[in-house]
Amino acid sequence: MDNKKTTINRRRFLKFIGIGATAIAVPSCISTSDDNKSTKNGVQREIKGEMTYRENPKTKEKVSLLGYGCMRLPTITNESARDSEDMIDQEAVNELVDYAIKHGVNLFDTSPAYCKGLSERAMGIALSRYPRESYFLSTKLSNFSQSTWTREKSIAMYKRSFEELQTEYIDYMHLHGIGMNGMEAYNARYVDNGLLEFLLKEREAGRIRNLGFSYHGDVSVFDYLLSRHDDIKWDFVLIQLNYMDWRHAKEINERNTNAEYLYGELEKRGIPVMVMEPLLGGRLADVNDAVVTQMKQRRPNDSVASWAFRFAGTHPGILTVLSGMTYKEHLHDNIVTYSPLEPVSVDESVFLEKMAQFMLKYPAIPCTQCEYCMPCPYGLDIPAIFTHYNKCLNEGNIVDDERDSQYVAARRAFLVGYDRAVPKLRQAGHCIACGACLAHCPQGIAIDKELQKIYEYTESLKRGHDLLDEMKDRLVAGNYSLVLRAADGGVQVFNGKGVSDLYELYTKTPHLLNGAIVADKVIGVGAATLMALGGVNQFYTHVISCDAYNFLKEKGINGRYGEIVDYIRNQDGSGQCPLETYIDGYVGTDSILPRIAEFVASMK
Amino acid sequence: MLRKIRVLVAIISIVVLTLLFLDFTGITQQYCGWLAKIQLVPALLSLNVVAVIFLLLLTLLMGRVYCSVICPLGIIQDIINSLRGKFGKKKNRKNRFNYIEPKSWLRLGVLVVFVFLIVLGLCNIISMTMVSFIEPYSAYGRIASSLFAPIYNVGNNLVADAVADSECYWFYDVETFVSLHLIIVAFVTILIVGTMAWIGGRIYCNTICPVGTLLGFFSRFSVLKPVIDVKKCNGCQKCARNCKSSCIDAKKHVIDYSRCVVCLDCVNNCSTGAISYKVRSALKTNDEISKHNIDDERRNFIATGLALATATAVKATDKITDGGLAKIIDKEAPQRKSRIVPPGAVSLSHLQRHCTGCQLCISACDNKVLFPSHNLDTFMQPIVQYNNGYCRPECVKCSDVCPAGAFHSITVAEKSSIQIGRAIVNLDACIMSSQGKQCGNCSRRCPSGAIILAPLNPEDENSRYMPVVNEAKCIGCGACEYYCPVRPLSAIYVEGNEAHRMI
Repeated sequence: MDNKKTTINRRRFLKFIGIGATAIAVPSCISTSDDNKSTKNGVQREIKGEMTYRENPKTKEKVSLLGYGCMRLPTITNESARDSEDMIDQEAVNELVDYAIKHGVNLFDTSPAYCKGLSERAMGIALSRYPRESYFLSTKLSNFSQSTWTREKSIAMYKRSFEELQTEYIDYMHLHGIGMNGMEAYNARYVDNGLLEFLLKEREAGRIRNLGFSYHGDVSVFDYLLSRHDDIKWDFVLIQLNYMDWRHAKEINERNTNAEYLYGELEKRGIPVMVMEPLLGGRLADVNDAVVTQMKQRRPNDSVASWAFRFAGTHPGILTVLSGMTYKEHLHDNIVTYSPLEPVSVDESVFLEKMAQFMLKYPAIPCTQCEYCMPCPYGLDIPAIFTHYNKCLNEGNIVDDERDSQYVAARRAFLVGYDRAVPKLRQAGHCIACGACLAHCPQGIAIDKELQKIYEYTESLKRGHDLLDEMKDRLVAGNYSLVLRAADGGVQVFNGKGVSDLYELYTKTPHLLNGAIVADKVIGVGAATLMALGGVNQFYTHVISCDAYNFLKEKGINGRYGEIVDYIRNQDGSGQCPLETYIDGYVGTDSILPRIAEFVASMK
Repeated sequence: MLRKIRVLVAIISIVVLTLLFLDFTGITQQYCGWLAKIQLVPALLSLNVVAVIFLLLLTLLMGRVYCSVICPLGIIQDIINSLRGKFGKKKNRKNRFNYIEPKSWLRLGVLVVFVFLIVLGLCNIISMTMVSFIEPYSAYGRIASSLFAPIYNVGNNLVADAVADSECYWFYDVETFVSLHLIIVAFVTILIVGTMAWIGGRIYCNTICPVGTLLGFFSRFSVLKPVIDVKKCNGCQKCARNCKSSCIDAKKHVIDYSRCVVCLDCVNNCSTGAISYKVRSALKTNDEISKHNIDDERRNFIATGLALATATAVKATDKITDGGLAKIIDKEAPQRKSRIVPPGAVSLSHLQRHCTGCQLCISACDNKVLFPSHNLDTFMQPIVQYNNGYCRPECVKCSDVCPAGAFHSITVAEKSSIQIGRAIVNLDACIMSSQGKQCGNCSRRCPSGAIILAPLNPEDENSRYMPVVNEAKCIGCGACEYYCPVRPLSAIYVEGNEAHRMI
């Protein structure tokens, strides 16, 4: 029997994970400070050494790995000025700047738009107390609003930044928010009004020492701007990078692009990378208890946020990691993390990837039990179901790997606790998705979808997992080209072209392939050969060729496919896939493998 | 010493056998399920050759130890009788038995009738459960499952409630469904058998029980047996007066080995050591496993006549009372033309021919879908209802525990392709097709993807939808019926297959 049922909605489901997730992205790193206090010994972490610096390849200047982001300056009510109507507390800002500079932070990043337009002035006041050459100023041309698209208005905005910041020159000037609203907006803001040329001239004149752009959204604009690197010569680019966005950007926000790709493209061209959102809007400082526990087990004295900062800082092409810090505790903790940076080891990055996947799969449900959704016409006890689910999530009783040592106990706690908390007839399976509750939820929870997800999780506990189905869901959800589940249960995703990922895996890390389950978009003879050589155990694919299917069968590799075809088509569908053509007529793994190697080499 | 071993084994045996019916976690069934499978009548019905040969060899070697340490009804009689020895009237505490002449005609008669009824049952002329009223293992099964289990469950639930707020997940609430019919049957059984045991020890075993009679044929020739050494005997008759089988004729120094259940009380009681359990010198073992045997049926209970609607559901009351909960109307079982029986049962008639109504499967069912039938022809045999759950795809417990071969053992994979019935949609009741509400729960919950939602009117873009059952995929598990929001009668229900088929 084809047990498709449990998985039908996984894709839709991943979309709303994004929704659920944003809702819980509570004020940035409140828990960071708690983490500091709640370390094993109850002592705040001490600064151990010197701040790590990265060199700007053009100017050879040393930039501190921690950059001060100035969009969340403190207010007089001790909140973040981004979310509050209150005035900025200049004295607190001065103190924060003092502390930062004292401990080696030398880059301050602001924008005319930040803190309701008051950030630049506050920073100007705070920083002008120091010699201008002792710090780097980074600001942006934030002409988002259509009313500022004219050349005059934009240049006025640019000039104003100099006044506010009380400076003669800007060290790092960003084209702000490139990619938002696509090429059209880019053209309107920077090309049609000649502003890009103006800025390039300003750079020649030395009033802009480094020119770059901050990127959000449409990847085609990013690709376009990089394609013009040769004539524009970008001095840096600001991208969103953290261990979630590294490979799962699409699962968080469909608009976004994996940081792994963005970073790779920049590194390839030798463009220094500035990082924003190292904590993904605070989410990576406020993770569920199961993740906290595992992080603390590995590094008892480190804060949860420090993992995210270490991840971001580890990549060598990173110039600086910007963090919007409202409180001194955050600042201190981040300084500790980077003084000096202890790079994330290979093992740790595998661990972080695992945590990212877990958090994506099982985000907490932001239910406050207000019971506005009740009574459910079909008798469900919605708040009780959500409470139970969240409780299990927090206690580490949501486990999806049957090989996990905690699996049996966690399964029992979830199922037994579920029946205790909610009578069977009021459990998630009885939700018919009528949608009556949706309008009443002040948190905007997609109640029906969350219930379906909990139902599916419960079913998976009762029935056991279908790994192939799960792999297929992954492949679809992230629109990956390849998803690999190694024999030890670790899952990795890939986005390479054709068989390049499989080939790299086979040549560089064959142990990962051995005994693995592989979900691949398309399997032709080439991919099948590599899978057989690598000792793959099972496969899933959307499309497989007859020859590949028979070949895998012969080698005792079983799996499922969506469609079986005579031959694999090339990308525009006009003929056979070039690799398949290239190896056509070659029989046996020994003779095919060298052909694949040649082909992959020619692709590069 | 030997007697102590017998008592110990018997206690372990009865505890485990009772737990088979009480333990809802399935652990006992998993490790000790074999104890039900070596019960003689179920073993014969399931053609369990190994068990039958083992039991016959055991009897030929040691006498009717089966009746003392394996048969739960025999052990419970010993317990009842020993209670009289402890708490009965003073004069009855000791020496309360006497030798009784064998009632051979009655024993043989019952056995013959019993065998006759079994043959009729196997030929599907009468229901097997009619036969099983006097079959000792099933009789005990009904006692344990309908009298002991509810008490056990109440105790469990008290503990579960007590730890509900803690992090302890070892105890959980269980729902108990009891059938009044079965309680009556079990109660009458324990009353009659218990009274006989209280008064006369193993009267039931030696006059009525067909298993006892059958084993009696073999135990006459057993290798080991209690033997009276006439030289040592002082004629005190203590052995005879304490023999619960009333089978020692002390005056003649003769023991009726067809009735002796090898309790070894006599060996223990003999003050001169004249009785010992040993190899009797002259032994003739002509064992021709001829036919099994004799006798008449005991009572045709009219209890069935009591037209009690459905199984009275003693349901744990809902614990959470937020005030915000809608009332849920209990589901009613639909009128099915053909009843549903679990996968593994092969067909309605196969189950009817083999099931002795011991209730073990019903006790083992975690999903609360198995109930004893109230129909005369299938009385006490399991039938499936989906009011409180559905036959979950990963569970094959009933087929695992059945000792009588009424269910063939199946794997989870096999189960997923055995069609025990088909879902049928009542479009008038369906809120989606009749009222245009959004639902589709039957389709969403179907584990085999057999239910499709199709527009009622394909021409109309805004058409209402109706559930359509692809019978080629439907296995009759009842998820749709259980999860259908229409109450009390579901808008989609399962009609049983007379013969199960692979899809």
